[in-house]
Amino acid sequence: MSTGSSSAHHQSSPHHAHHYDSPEQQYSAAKQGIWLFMATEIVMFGGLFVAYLIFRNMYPEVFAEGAKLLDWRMGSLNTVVLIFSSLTMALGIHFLQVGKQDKAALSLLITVACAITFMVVKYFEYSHKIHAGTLPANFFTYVPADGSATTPNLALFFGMYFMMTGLHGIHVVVGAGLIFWLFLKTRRGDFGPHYYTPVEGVGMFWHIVDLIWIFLFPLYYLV
Amino acid sequence: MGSSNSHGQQKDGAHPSEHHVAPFSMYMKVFWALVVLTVVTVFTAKFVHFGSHTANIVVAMVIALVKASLVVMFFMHQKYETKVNRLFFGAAFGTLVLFIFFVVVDLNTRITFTQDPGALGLKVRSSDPAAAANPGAAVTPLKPAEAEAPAAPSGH
Repeated sequence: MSTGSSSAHHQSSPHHAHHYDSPEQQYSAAKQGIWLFMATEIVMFGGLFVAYLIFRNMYPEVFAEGAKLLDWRMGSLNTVVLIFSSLTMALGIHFLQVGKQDKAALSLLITVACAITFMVVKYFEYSHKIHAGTLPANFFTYVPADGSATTPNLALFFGMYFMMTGLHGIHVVVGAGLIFWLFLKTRRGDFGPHYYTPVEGVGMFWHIVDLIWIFLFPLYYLV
Repeated sequence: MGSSNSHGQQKDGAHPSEHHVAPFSMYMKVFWALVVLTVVTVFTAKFVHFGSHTANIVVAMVIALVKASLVVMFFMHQKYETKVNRLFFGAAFGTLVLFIFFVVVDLNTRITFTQDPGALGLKVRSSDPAAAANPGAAVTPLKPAEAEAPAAPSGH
């Protein structure tokens, strides 16, 4: 325990790891790591958004017709669900900051419920596409109800759609698992006004998930 | 470092609790702003035409950028972050903006290369004697059938 830092720190915070001078420094280091991780998330999805831009420029008619085959009502519903979950996630941290652990736990549980709702809506969307045959590459078997021909290369749209919403969906599932873990820890009383770093970190990840959907929704469902 | 650190040093180590605690009302305001902007983006994309399809895409992207800024600033507390963390995020986002900028420049300044080098004033070395004898002749139509197509239905 006597590692050079004053022992008062250790008594005041059981979460203070000995290789940090102070809980404040530990908190800053953790936050910095999360921001760096968020930067990698932006460049990863960024590459896919640039691919979208290039393909859209090359085949505008494919994307115009593809958007009509997605249900914008389901997309809108999921947008509002994710925005609401971002609110409850932020409120979870807020309630921990002001020492209301019960409300924080409830906020986190609602966030998990929103994530599950999002994935259930996504399940209905995906299963509909699998039945209709609006799928990527050579899995594409879709024929419109009136038997007319579809735009050439329409499978490209669904390749991009499944790639980007699929990667986003994986993030939602991972985020839901992490937030449920936070819920359990909050219930156990692990977090409070003096220590909530993991909640803040996962929260930032969850907001990035919301952020990416904010761009995916109009690009695929609307325009 | 932010001002939160300065008074944190005085006592037994600065706790995260001494970071900026935003009021509950701020989160609700941001949430409702995001909901309203979602309604606006659906409405403008589905029922309003801004002259061209590209204009509609631009409007949708501007609204998405405003929504994204609200999330980053207030939900992710970017507004109260340290300078270096803001730099990380700004660098990633700036890289993406540069990436998109040069791709857009590229996509909008491309030319389609002709099949006929003679049309570009280049020396033709071809096995076809007609093309070799007359460099710079009119570009061979890519789809010769198209020229006859409109005339066909008029006969009946």
